[in-house]
Amino acid sequence: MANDRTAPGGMGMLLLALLEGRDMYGYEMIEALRTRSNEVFRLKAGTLYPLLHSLEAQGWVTSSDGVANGRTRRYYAITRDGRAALAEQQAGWYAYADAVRGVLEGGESLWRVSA
Amino acid sequence: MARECVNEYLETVGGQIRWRRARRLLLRELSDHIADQAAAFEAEGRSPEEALAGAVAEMGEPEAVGRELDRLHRPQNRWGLAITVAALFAAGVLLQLFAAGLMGDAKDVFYFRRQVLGLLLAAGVLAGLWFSDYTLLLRRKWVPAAALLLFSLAPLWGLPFGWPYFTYYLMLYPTLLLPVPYAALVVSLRGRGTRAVLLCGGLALPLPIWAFVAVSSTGYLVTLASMLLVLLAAVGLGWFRGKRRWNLLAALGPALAIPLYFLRHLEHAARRIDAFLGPDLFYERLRMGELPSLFVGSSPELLLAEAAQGLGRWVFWAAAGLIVLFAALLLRRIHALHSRTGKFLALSAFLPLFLQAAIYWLYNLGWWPLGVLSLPFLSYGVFFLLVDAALAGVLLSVFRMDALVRDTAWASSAPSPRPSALDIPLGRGQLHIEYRKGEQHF
Repeated sequence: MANDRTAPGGMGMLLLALLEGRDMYGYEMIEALRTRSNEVFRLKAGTLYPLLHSLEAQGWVTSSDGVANGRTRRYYAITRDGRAALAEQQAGWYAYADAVRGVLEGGESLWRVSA
Repeated sequence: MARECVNEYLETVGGQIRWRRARRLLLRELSDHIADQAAAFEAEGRSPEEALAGAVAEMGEPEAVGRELDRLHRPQNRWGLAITVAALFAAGVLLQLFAAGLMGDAKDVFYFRRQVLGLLLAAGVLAGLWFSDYTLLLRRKWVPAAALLLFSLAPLWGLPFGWPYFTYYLMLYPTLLLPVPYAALVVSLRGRGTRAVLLCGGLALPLPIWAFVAVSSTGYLVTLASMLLVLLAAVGLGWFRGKRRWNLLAALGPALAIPLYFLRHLEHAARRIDAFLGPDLFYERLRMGELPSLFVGSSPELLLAEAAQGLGRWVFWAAAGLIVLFAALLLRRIHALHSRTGKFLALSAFLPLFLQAAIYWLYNLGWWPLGVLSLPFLSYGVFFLLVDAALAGVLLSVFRMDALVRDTAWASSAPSPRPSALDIPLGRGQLHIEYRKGEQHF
């Protein structure tokens, strides 16, 4: 779970990226993750909520009760610390992806980085 | 059948969550999720039964989910704070044992025993509030107002016993607890406009009026200042709609005008202020580090001055250091709370304690013109001990419950950040629009 939360490219980073756009409740996040990943990421609720609650304990997201369609829902919002963590994880992920692409495409990209 | 399947799932998850108060909230979130998922499946054409069963199947393995949620949601008991208060209780009793010279004098023995009994009661009050659910104050909109009314009318309970002595206790001490329900009121008015701020600012003035009637200007000022600081913090954080400048004026406006009027017309306070400003033996002796001669024996109001006379002036600096250290540690803890509601409630319990301690320190140096309340947990006074223990109990309860308290979302006057993507239902699918960040082209 710790890796999911803090690793670049982990599920924690994806959840923070979703919340960077707007506040969401749990079900909305699973749906948004599914549609935005072209059905690749189908997260179970049983995985989502413990992950969200650990992000909250970390201080990266906060939650509050709000009303949607006449029902009370627990909305999650990204904090300033969460945005900083997201930026750091995104940078780590792009560097990693660039390195992988460099290897796959014959080393040009890697050579460019190290040159 | 499908409903039973949902209940069974929730019961299995709940069986793994040991903290009862957390269980209800966590299961509500999971149950809402199942309802949302089932509604989505129904919209796809499944029967209600199939939709519910499918939604439960999507949730994941219940024991593992419950174990993970249990691990993340344990009560956060701040034992450090509780032990510090217990140590201060013990230090207070020891100080009084020495200060009273508890050898043979029947009156001193009586007061010492009275204080020990008070300490046991205070420990009970502290523990009772520590493990209670302070969010009861926030469950319904009318609860904070009702609690404020209850505390404000406290002196009337003394009527059957006759006014003079007993009612004095009911006038002063419940007043010092007022900032806690007041903070709950401020929280419940979150998102309202300048008029709500004006209401809170105006209400802060008459609420502690019984302390004034009991001739405790300091009791009045400590309560008023605690309430106004909580209100100012709420205004400063933008909890109310409208321009912040006007809201600050609405919060402080009534308070700037009225206390001056009261102070000028209250004979007792005016006499003290005259003595404070003019040449007066009492204040001059204290400022020189000597005990005023009218106090032959021990005084509960001059514990620090007495200790300083015996041990040296460093006692004052040590006391100031400890007060600042405790205040800084507590404020750091309060700042680290997740729930903003919790932060306000904690601040409302912290401020009367801190202001009492600061005023006691100033008074003992001869630099506070009015009366003194208590040196929290240390100085003599059974009712002060009970009030201070209640405030510490509220603090401990707020820390304990932090993981469970949710702030209520409200429509902010600030513009919300632009979404990075938008999903619009279209036919059987969805239209997905991504907003590009960075440059804007016109």
